[in-house]
Parts: sequence; C-alpha cells; structure tokens
Amino acid sequence: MQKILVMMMAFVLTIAAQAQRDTIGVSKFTAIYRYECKTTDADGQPVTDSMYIAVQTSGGITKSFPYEEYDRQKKGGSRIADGYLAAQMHIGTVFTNYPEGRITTQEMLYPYRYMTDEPLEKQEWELMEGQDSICDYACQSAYAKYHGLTWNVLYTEEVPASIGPWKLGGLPGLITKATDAKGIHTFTLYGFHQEDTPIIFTQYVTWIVPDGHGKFASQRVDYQKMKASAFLAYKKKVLGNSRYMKNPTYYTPDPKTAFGYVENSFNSAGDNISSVAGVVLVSNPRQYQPLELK
Amino acid sequence: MKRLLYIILYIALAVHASAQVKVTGRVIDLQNKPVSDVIVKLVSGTKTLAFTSSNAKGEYSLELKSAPSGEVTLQFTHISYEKESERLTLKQSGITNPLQRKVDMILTPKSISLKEVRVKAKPLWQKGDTLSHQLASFLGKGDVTLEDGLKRLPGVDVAKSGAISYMGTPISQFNIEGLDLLGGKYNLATRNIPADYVTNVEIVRNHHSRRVERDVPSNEVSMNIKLSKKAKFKPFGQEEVGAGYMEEGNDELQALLGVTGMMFTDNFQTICSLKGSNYKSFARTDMIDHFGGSDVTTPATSLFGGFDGGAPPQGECFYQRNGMATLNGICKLDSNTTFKVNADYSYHRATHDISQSSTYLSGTGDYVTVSEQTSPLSKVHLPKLSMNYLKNADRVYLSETFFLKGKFEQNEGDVNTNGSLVEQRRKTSSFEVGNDLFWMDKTEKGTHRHVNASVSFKRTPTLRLSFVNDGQTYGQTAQSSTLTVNVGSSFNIPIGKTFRLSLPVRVNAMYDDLETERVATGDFNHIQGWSFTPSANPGFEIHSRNRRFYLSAGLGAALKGLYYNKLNYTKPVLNPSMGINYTFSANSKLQFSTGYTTQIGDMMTLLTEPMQVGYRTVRTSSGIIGESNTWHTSGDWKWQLPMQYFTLSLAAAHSEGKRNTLYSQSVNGVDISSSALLRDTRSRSTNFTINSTKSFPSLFAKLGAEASYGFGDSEQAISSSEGAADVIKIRSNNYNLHGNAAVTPITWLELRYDINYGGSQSRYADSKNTVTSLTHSGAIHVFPIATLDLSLDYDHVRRQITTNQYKNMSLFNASAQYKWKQCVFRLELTNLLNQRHYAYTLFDGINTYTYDYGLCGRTSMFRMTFKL
Repeated sequence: MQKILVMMMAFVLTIAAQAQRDTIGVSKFTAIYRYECKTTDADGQPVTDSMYIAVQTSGGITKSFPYEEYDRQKKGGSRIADGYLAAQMHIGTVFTNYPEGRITTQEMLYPYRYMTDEPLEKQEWELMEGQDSICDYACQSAYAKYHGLTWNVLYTEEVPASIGPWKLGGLPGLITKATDAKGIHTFTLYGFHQEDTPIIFTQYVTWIVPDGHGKFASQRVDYQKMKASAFLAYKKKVLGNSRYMKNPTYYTPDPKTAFGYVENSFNSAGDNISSVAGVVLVSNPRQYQPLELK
Repeated sequence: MKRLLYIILYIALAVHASAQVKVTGRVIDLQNKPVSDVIVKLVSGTKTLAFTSSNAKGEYSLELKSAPSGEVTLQFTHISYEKESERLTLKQSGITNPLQRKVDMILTPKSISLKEVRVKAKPLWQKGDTLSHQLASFLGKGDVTLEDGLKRLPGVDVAKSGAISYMGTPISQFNIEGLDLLGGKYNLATRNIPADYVTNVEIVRNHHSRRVERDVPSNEVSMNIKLSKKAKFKPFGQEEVGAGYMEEGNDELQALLGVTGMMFTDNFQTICSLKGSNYKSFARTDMIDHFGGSDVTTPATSLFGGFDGGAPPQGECFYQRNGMATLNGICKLDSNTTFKVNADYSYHRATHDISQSSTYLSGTGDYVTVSEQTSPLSKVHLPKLSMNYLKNADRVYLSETFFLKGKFEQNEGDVNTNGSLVEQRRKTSSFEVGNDLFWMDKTEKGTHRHVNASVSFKRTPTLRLSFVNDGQTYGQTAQSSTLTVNVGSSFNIPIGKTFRLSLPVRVNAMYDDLETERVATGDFNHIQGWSFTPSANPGFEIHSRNRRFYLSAGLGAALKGLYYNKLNYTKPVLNPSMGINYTFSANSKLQFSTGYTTQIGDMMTLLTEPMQVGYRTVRTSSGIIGESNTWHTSGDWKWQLPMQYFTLSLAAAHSEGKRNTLYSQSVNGVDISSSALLRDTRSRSTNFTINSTKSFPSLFAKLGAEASYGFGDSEQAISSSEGAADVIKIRSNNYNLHGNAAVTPITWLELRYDINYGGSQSRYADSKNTVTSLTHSGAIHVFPIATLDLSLDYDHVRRQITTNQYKNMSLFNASAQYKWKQCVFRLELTNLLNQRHYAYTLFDGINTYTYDYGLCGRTSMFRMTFKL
C-alpha cells in the first residue's frame, strides 16, 4: 500500500506542481546554450558537468534558465526535478533588467528557494580583433571583468541582440561563447528556437506534499528574499566547506528528520531525483566553482 | 599666481570639452512606437567606436571622448527590424563646446531567420564520468535489437562476437537498470532486448565495480541500460523461428527456433532462453562469455588440445548444430545487496573442411613441407551453474560466489597428409567446482582493507587421444587433478592528503596430480606435488591534492616454490612496477606504466618422457625450470570529447625479455618434435597504435580510423638429426590501417564502408617473407518505406599467398527485413556467389603456414521474430 502511495505521489508531483506566474514579456526567439563547468566530484576526481540553458528576451528583459524547465513550460507543466542540474551546478534562473535596472536571481539551495536582487551594472567590454565561428555565425571577441572573474567571449553581430547566457550581455550582438579566464566555466551557443514564448516570472511555487497523515496537501513555497551579495557570501560559506562534499545537507538537520519525508520524481533523463518542500536534494555534490567572486 | 592657475585650468577644460562628442536620439517603428533593444553602434571603417542599446522608450545615448576625424557611420540593428545606418561627420573646426548630435531613426520590420535546433532529443548527456545516450536519437530505421542500436553510439564498438568496447577499452561490467544480471554473457541481453524497449544507454568511464574504491583511480568502462516503462514490471520476450536451405551443406535443410523471456522490476530481474538451430551460430553466440571464466581448462586438456582447425577471418565455414538453455535471475535484497543465480547448458557440434600446407626449416637448411587435408568434427557440451551473493555499499563490499562447471568434448577427423590417411580421435571430460570470497571495507579515515579466499578443484578423469596410420595404432592417455587455493589480504592506508601506503599479501597454493602415458611405446609421466607461492607487494601511491596526478609503485616480492616428485625448487623473485596517471581534464588522460616481471616455469617442464600431442608431433620437456624476465613499458593518451562526439587515443608499448631456455624445433620427415635448450634467449617488441572516431548525429554519420605499427625480434633453434642446434634470429614487423564510415545521406539510404590494409614481414638468415592483405567491406541499406529494409553487403579480400601470388575473393550477402506491429520478418541470403574457399598465409617465426578453408555454400533463410 505504501508503495502504491509513493508511486501515486511521484505521479502527482510530476504533473501537479503549480506556481504563481506572471508573464513579463513574449520572447520572439530563445537562444539555447550549453553550460559546462570543470570541477571535481566527492572523490576528488576531475569531472566536467554540463547542462543546457535557455535564454529569452523581450523589452529589455532577459531570462536565463534551465532548458528542461523551458521545455516543460512550453508543454504547460513544471517539475522540481528539472531544476536538479542547475542546483548541482549552482547556477540560478536570472532575470536581467527585471525590475528595470535590477537583476533578480532565483536559485534552489536546500532547504529553501532563494530570490536575490542586485543592481544591473554595465559590463565594460573591451572589443578585440580576434574572429571565430560558432554555430556558423561569424564572431568577434571581447573581454570584460564582471564580479571578480574575467570573461572572454565571442559574439556575433549577425544576431543583433545584446544578450547572453546567465548575467552576461551588453555587447553589440549575441554572445555565442563565454569562458572565464581559468577555463572553469564555459557557455556555448547551441542554437535557437524561433517561436513566441512567454517570459514567466514566478512569485512563489506550490507543491503537493504529504500531510503526515497518509494524505496529501498543497503547500505554498515562498522564495527567501536576500541581497545578491549576502546570498553569494552564504553560498561561499556553505558550499565552500569541505563537509559539503561528504554531506550536501550538513548545514541543516537531515531532510528526513526535518520534514519527515523525502520525495522522488524523475527528470527528463529518467533519473530519480529526491526533493523536499519543492527543493531538490543534491545527490552528486561537486566542488563549488563560483560564477562570481564578489 | 592664483589667477594664473585659474587661467590654465580654464584652458585645459576648454580643450577637453572641445574633444567630447555625444550622439542621442530615439528609435521608432512605422507605427511611431518606440523600439527597445536596438543596438546602436558608431563605426569608423570596420572599427567600432562606441555602442549602446535603446531603452523601453526607444531612446539611446552614445558618448565619445574625442571626435573622430572624417565620416563615421551610425548603425541601428535589431533582430526583428531591417538594419539602418546614417553617415555623420562629427569633427568640426572652430567648435570648442562639447558636440551634441541628435539622430532619430525609423525601423522597418523584417522576418527573422535563425538557425533552429532541436534540443528536445538531447541525444547525449554528460554527468561527470557518465555519458547518457538517448538511444532513440541514434537508431536507424532497420535496427531491431539493442545491439543494433549500440553500434550507432559514438565511440562504441561492437565486435562480431558481440563484445562491446568504448574507445578501444572493453567494458568490464554490463548492467540492466543498475543490476549485473548476466556477467560476461551480455549477448543474451543485447541480442534479445528490442531496441525500442531501451530509453538510455549509459557509459560510465573510470568505473569502479566496488563502491568502496571510488577514490582509487580506475581505467574501467561499464555500460548500464535503462529500460522504458513498457519493459518494466511485466514479462516480455521474443520468439524466433526460421527455415532455410543450404546448397551442398551437411544439413541442406536449415532451421532455427528460439524463445526468450524476461522480466525487470525494481527488485527482480530474469532472462530465460531456449534456442536450437543448425543455422550458423544462432544459439551459440548468446552464450559467449566476454569476461572469460566459463571454460574449463585442466593441465591434461592444455597438453593434448583438440583439433578444431581454426576459422578464417571472413566467411562462414562451419557446418553447425547448436543449442542452449539458460536461466538467469537476480534479486535485490536491499539497496546494496543482491543474490544472483545463473544456470546454463550449451551444446555445439561443428565440422568444416580445411587444407593446410606447413613449411618447416630443418636442421640441414632445407625446407620440409607437409600438406594436410582434414575435416575436423567437434562436439562440446558445456553445463554451468553459479550463485553469487553481493553486498556493494559505500563502506563495505562482500562477494561470495559458488560455481560448478563442466566440459565434455569429442573430436574426430581423419587427416590426409602427403598421401597417407591417418585416423584421429580425442575424447575427454572435465569439471571444475569452486568458491570465491572477497571482502573489502573502507574506514572513516579512508583506509581500505580486503580479504579474499578462493578454492577450486578441477579434474579430467580421462583424456584419450588415438591415431591409426596404416593399421598401426598409437596415441596418448592422460588424467589430471588440480586443487587451487588462493588467500589474500591487503591494507591501503592514507597518510596525509596526498599519500597512500599499501601492503597486499597473497598465498597461492596448488596441488597437482598429472599422468600421461604414450600408447604403444609406454612412455609414462607422473607428476605429483605442490606449487606454493607466497607474495607481498608493498607499495605506495602519491597523488596531487586535486587528484589529477597519480604515481603508484609496488615491489612485487614473491617466493616461488615447486615441490613435485623429487624436485625441491625455491626461488625469490621481484616484480617491481610503477604507474603514472595524469588527468588533464575529465576528457583527457595520460597514462604510463612500466614493470619488470620474472616468470618461473611450472610442473609441465618436468614432463621429460615423450608425449604424442598430435598425430605427427611428439613433445618432450627439458626438465629445466624455465625462467623468463621481461621488462615492459607502455603509455597512452586518450582525448575524449563526448559532447562533440570525438575520441582520439594514442598508445605505445615496448617490451624486452630474456629467457633461460630456447625453443628448439626438430624436423624428421613429416614428424615435428619440439624441446627446450638450456640457453639464454632474448626477445623485443615495440608497438604503436592510434585510433580516432567522430560522429555527426545530425547527419547520422559515424567515422572511425585506426593505425598500428609494430616490430620486434626473437630467437629460435633448429635441431639437426645429429643433435646439434643452429640458433636463428627472427626479425618481424607488421602494420595495419583501418577505416570505417557509416553514413545516412538521405533518409531512405544508409551506407557503411570498412577498409583494412595490413602487412607483415618476417626475416631470418637470408630469407625474407612478406604478406599483405586488403579487406574492404560495405553495405547498402535502402528503405522504400520506413518499415522495409533491403540490404546488400559484401566483403572483398585480396590476400598474398606467396611472394607473387595473390588471391581475391568476394562474398556477397543480401537481406530483406519488414517490421509489422510486434513482428519482424527477415529473408537472409548468404554467400550469394557461392564462394567455397578462403585461403591465406601466416608466418610463425621460421615456419610458414598456408590455410585453405572450405566455406559453406549459398544459403537462404527466412526467419520471423515475434515480440511476446
């Protein structure tokens, strides 16, 4: 019976997740990037993790978020598990110039979903002479220092959109490839989806969770709001601790003890992902490689 | 003074102000609505002077520190509007105030065209060392089984035997939904699970079969299959039935029948199969154990081997009858513990025709050629049962395996040699029973400890080898029993963050009882006693903090003891070794290893009485305990870019050896005898290999290339009838080039091409032998409709037989396959041109062997597969 309940709940979790959504624009196209991060696993072995990122833009606003969420959103649903890789690689959903002149970032870090705010700073790009080709687009190169890391990028004026993956942008063309000076982080343009899609901003999410009496209840999960600089300092403290590699939830009580349950659902690859209160649990911790130092 | 300073400051400000330029404006569309996100760029020639983008009101503002000379262009670009530009002259003489220009622009909409991609298929994921392939993205139209799909994956090779390798490394474990049900007999899964029942194929590089050893470097590769929902929780399977006709075959009527059932749940998996046929290796291939260990080999069967005659690299030469029954089940007791039972029985009967010409160098310097024609027939029964309990947790590993296996063989085949007929018969049965126990744990501090104990007993009660020549009967009988006990233990202790100390110790004890008796002459050998070898391999491992660099070394100390009959031989040996690994990134790895090995002979060297090992070959051992010392060095670099579907590997290996005995050959008429002389002999060999694969999933294309070159030298003695021996130094070299391509240029056409060119040269004294071979094969698949696959494949071989003699041969096969609902109908036509011979030459040191195999005639087979 318990097994049936668990299976039912996994099914319910899969399809019944809801969110308070605001459509803040309609993007005429979506750029798809592959994000790679070179790091080490819990055994200290070098690994390169990768995920796909979707970037939408409209009316000066840019949204950069996991491709799986974008794909699921187009089908009218959402799954906790689709944010797993973003949680493991510590890259959030970024709304640039939303609200105007600000950057809003949403990120899962057990046991909360965080929403941070920071001013939209102009990235001072130095345009270079070098040329290359990405996805058959002729590209020029440029570099800039942003939040403590130096980014070397390629951009193409053949796609006149001043956007890029994550928080990068502000060049006279679409960023096609961006790599930090140490070569740890790399974003590479994979291609486009040319169709109108809404840019959705979620105020809070709602998940179906067990109520402790063998039934299920809808639970609203609000974002914890913080300043971006404070959240970055918190991430450095928590994720930079060597204990994180051995136990990714070392800094809080054990999820099962704290919440009384751990749920399982499947992502697009069919992997079983554990979650609690609408936040995924990282099962394959990696050495934290911050995308920004300050 | 103060006034003067004010004047200077005023002049400086005025000069600075005169250089500033500001361009502002507003961008609107044809409906007079503001256009945001327009990139506004000021360029001079090809140089970008400044850029910005318009805000939500369509307004923009550009500033320059100094006015550029000459004409500049103000460009307006937006992904949804036509590009516009305006020429400006910003430097004007006589203006001292900052120059301000206002440029408004109206943009005209345009339709955008971007390079559309489909990420939704997401054919390949990389999660650390795991590459997850979505199989459906790689499948071709004609693919039916999982094996068909695996052949399409980048970097994956599936050999004709079904053996899977990734980047040249054979997989060391094959899992289905994380469980190792079949061990090395994974053909049962790859050839019986329909491709469309599999969602993902995961390849795990740097795989650790024992979880406790995750922090230890590994070069192993494993594969895990993920099944679709329709293959889970309920039984499924397939039934195969077929009938056909072979021209001039031993069995003209060909038939096959097979039923395979399987079930996969979270906690239980099973595959059961029953097959029989006289068509090719239909029932035999499923039972191939790619990890070995299914065969039973005893001292008696090693000494007096069967005569199956070998097989050519191309074409079907065996007339076969084969059958098998297998039951496999694995039960998950908890998240880390499994219990597995594998029971199988297989039978095969095979015969074929072979003509062989062997040229031997005699002690007088003459060449003796022996020609033989034979049709060896072998019948083999192989029963096996194994049970395994496995606990594979993060901190502890326990494996307990019990096995029982047998091999019952019968060989016969009269041989016609240089005009006379000799009858040959061989019959033997062997069995082996054993138990393996392996325990390992990992402490909080990271120390690894292990204990293993294995015991096995194998016996050949009777082996009879008999020959009849001109009414004269001669031959050999033998029996052997061997009890083997292996006990080992090790500690692997981390010291600090970068150093580990290891101390494995092991004891190998073997009791043998071997008897051989040569019929007719009565020559009798009886060896009884122990081989006892305690060994210790104290070593260390150093790794960098980021674990990119590893260096490990071991001493390899052992005490080899042979206590047989009256022999009491004890000798300490050292086998030091060292390995270095450097991981540049998750996709690039350099490895280097070197070691010195001393091998001491075994009890076989005490077989000093003659033994009849073949109808014309007598073997006598020297009684001298052989010793060989080999220094081996190898290195390789692998570069894998899975996401770019590209792999490259370079490898080099060198070994040098010294042995205290020299193999000696004596030729007397057509009788060949061999022995060992007490004389130091040296050998060397060097090999280089490069291979690369590249796939283009968007084009459904997969390309591969491989090249290898090797050279070496060795020594051999030729004994004359007077007993004197000439020592001959043999130098050899060989090379091989291999390329393959699989392309789908248009949706209804698939092309495959494979070319292999190789050569080998052997030189001794004044003689030089060279042979080359060129093999190319190809296949064309045409799909008039999506479910119908018409194919034609061919093999063309050009092989050198002798110096100026070449043999060309072409083999053509054709098939038509139609998929309908849960059924696959297939018509196979094999050897369309009815080629009946395949010949080639091999050099083995100073001897030359030329083989001419008879091939099976033209065969047609209609088979049906039904998914159950």
